[in-house]
Amino acid sequence: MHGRSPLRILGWICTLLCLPGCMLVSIGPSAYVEPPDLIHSEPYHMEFFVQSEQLHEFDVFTSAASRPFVAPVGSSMASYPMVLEGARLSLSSDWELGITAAPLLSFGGLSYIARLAAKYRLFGATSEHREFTGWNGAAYFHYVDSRMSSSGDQAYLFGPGGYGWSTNSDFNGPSVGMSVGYRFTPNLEAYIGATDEEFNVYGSVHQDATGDGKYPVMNYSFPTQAGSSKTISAGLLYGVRSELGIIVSHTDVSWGSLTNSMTTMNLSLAFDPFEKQLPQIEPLESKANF
Amino acid sequence: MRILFLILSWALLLTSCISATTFKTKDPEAQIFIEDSKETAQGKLAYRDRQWIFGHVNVRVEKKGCQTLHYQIHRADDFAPEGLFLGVITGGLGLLWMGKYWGTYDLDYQCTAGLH
Repeated sequence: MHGRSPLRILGWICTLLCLPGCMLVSIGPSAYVEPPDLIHSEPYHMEFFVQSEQLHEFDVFTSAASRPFVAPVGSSMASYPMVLEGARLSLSSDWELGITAAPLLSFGGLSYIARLAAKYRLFGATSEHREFTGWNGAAYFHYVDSRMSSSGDQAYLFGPGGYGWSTNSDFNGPSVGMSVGYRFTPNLEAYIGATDEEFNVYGSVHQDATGDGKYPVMNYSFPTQAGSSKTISAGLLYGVRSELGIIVSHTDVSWGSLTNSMTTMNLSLAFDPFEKQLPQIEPLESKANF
Repeated sequence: MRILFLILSWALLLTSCISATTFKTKDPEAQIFIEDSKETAQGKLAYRDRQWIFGHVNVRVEKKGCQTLHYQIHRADDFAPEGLFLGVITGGLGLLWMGKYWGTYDLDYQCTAGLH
């Protein structure tokens, strides 16, 4: 007779939550448009940010635990917003590196989204030169790597005859893009840009032998399936020491024979701890005082 | 519990509303005045207020024998993330304090030659 320990009850809750949607998915962000300004003209200055982005979810396996195993899916995708965090590091007045990342919720495995960025200043002043208004532009390269891992032990939940299983589903690929902006005042900039992303989705499942010897150890894979994502964005940045971004984006995603098109609005918050170069404040009027 | 939440919200509201800055002039002998108040200092003045995002402060700089100059400093000059956070938990009200002053304002004041 099984006892009702809190751990076992938690296991059953997880199982019940999983039952209607035990589908294994791969998750990756849409092509992302970088703001056109670089943070600083001197090396090793950092800026931290949080931003909402649109993620895509690609169905890879129906269930990693089912025996006999159900064939890979690859027949649907969905999208939803998520908050990602990151940092940018200046290398010189022309180059900047960035990383955007987030942990993902999954049972029994390491799951994450990470995007590395290298940005090159095409023209215009870097962001600390707030005394300069006018045009600025940048080109950039991204590489996204995302993994959803999970594992389970059917024996623990279902008793004798169970087996352990684990799965990984991956999303990765490069993207390139360009953006151009205009700084109207030290605290207000508008920009537009476009990014083109190519990505691959693939995955694997490992199942241990069952305790009753009915099934041997098995490994399955979801073959690499390529896709692309194209985004155009228009953004408004407000602030000096802290910066709020309001970004409207249109994204087209294609994956195999599936396509998805959407227009979304996202927010970003950036925090730069370093001093900005600000203009002197001009007087409104003057009069002699004797 | 609800009372504690309200107290914390109001405490956050009051502290988030404050924006502090410093006004400076290149001429250390110039006298800086905050108009509509008695605050004044020579060369450098620390200032803070609780104005909303569309508010401004009028500043006057004088020096004996020189011109008097007037400046208008806007609370919306910088973005205050705490105002955005407050706006989320107060149903939009806190967004009125989503602006703050820059850390320092360099007021362009130089005594005009010939007025001494």
